[in-house]
Amino acid sequence: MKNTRIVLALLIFIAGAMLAASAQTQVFVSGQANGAFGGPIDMTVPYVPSVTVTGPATITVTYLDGMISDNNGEEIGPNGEDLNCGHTYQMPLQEARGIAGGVCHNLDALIGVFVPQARAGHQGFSPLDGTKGVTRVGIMPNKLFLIGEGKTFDVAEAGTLYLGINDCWVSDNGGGFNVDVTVQ
Amino acid sequence: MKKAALMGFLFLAIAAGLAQTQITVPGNASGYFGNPAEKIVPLVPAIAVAGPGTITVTYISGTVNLGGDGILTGPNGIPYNMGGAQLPLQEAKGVTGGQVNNFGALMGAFIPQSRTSCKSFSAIDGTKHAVHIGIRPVDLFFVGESKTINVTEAGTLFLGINDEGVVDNSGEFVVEVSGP
Repeated sequence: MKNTRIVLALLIFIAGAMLAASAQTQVFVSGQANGAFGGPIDMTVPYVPSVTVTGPATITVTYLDGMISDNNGEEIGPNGEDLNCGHTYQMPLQEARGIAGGVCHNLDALIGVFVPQARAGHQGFSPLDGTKGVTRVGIMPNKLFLIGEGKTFDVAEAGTLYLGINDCWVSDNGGGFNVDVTVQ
Repeated sequence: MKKAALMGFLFLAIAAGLAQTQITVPGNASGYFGNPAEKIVPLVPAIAVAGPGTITVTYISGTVNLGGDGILTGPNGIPYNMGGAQLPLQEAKGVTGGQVNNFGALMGAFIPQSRTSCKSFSAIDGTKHAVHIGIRPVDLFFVGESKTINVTEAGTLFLGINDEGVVDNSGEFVVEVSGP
């Protein structure tokens, strides 16, 4: 009987420790969350904060469900699709590389950016493109990255992971993505 | 005779090992950086290097008139309250408006050859969908009166002015640029 209690207490302790070491949350990312990235933009919709970490951590983002309707009602998943944008458009992931037009890879894909606490906690910060003069303190486009169906990455400092959509012209977008975000 | 030959040899060696040139940077060469950006004037190519080396930029002469009330500045720029506007060197950091210390300063960007040699590259802001391949704001840096940078690959140093509204700018900076 005594041994059973000890084992039970140990199991509860281990479970508690695992819960403390791992945080999990679900986030909805609207199909219009362009963060004012790319160009031209027709709406300014801030990126969605998903998790905030207080120090070095491993973050995993996993797509759960949901689609984005775009391009005459076409349903697009988290990996996006390739589309020839001609000379007209620059998608957020293109802006990240300082290029524009041509074939836009991963249009409407799930994308993310990790913003260090020093910036995210700054007075006047908004999760918007910091290169367009639309916010006192914003996000640098070169930090954007593709997430798609899922991504795991390490962060070296405290900060917040923001999620958005790889599209600039979003007033005709509908739907969104439900994702699971885990921190270890 | 031997001394003259030695001097000539030294001169040739220096000339061969170190390229040096004078560049004029117009007062409206903002590279279409900053916001609101009202005129597309590319940054000025100053020196192209074929590999790793040290590049030095040294201001020689000139002032830039930043327009408006006839605000004159040298290469270090001037303190100014930008209100809600965003200067190129602010865009490089993702911040906007308020008080700055380098309005109108001489600035630069070193761009690797892999980018500058692209067919549709242009030395303007690559985040404004005004060019197929441009310069990322994060590559901009303050030059001021002088700056020495070490580069690790072939590429081109471009120079410009830290101002966003350049339609009414005039004047220029003349600089000396040396590199490998």
